[in-house]
Amino acid sequence: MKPNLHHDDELSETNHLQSLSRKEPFQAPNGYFDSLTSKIQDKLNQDQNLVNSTVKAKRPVFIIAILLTVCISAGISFYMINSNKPHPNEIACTYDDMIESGYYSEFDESALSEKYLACQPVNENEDKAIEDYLINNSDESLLINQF
Amino acid sequence: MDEYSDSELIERFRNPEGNNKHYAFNLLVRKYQQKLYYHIRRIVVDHDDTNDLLQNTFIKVWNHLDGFREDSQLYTWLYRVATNECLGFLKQKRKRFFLPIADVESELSEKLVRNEVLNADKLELKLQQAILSLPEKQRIVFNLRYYDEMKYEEMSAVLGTSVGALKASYHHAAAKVEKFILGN
Repeated sequence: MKPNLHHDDELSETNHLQSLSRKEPFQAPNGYFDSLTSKIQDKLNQDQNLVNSTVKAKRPVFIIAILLTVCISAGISFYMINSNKPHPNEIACTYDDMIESGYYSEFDESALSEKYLACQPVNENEDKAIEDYLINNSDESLLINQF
Repeated sequence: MDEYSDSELIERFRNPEGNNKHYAFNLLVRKYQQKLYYHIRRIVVDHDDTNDLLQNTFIKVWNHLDGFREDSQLYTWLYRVATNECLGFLKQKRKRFFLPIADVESELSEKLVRNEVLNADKLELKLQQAILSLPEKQRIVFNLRYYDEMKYEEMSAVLGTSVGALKASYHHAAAKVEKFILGN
């Protein structure tokens, strides 16, 4: 019987339990513990071989999967970068916005002027006023020199 | 074989001389194989199941010992791994065969009666049946305390339960076992 190291008091209310020997109720087969380490080593080696052979067998699949992943990632990042860059028609057109956006250099000034003039309604009164202003205020000698 | 302390075994496993990690691991297996075998056997009863679970336990130990942080004792960690293996095994068994808890316990009890290597007389057989009638976790608490004489603090590290709850659990388990023996 094992000595009651910790719990004599704990079993004081359970007489039958206390009276029983606390010997191990189960037995392992003879020689079981002598061979256990080698069985475990075999299993470890099997597991390792299984991992290695799986990696070998699946190598082409792994390579294709990696290539596909790289292509998809590159495509997604390209799309994300371009989708974040606003189209010239969409940006808020303050002076600073234009400078920062870099689209400033892409403008064709003459095309813009033509578009602008084409959109302006013809105002005959305004043209007459300009004509009068030019007649009354321009220096004739200067105009002659110009032509 | 017991001349190596747990920390020496871990050190030898992590930094093996001549790259012989397997030798260091064998030392660890030899030190704990019997304790863990009987711990598992008392939970699952059958030797073949015990053999599988014990081997799986040591494979897991092999895979995770490098990451073992030593904030608990190696001994309690090994018991924890083994206990989790057993609980997982019983859970799977119930799921696989759609069995309620009581059926798994009665199956274990039948195995116990059939068991030719049970090292027990009639009264001890009755004791084992009484223990098997306990709920799973209470049974583990009872076994760890009654047979392994494990301290409550160590049991707490194994089962992740407070010392107070373990003391209460053991007290209730002992009372139930006594009642079962008297009743039969």
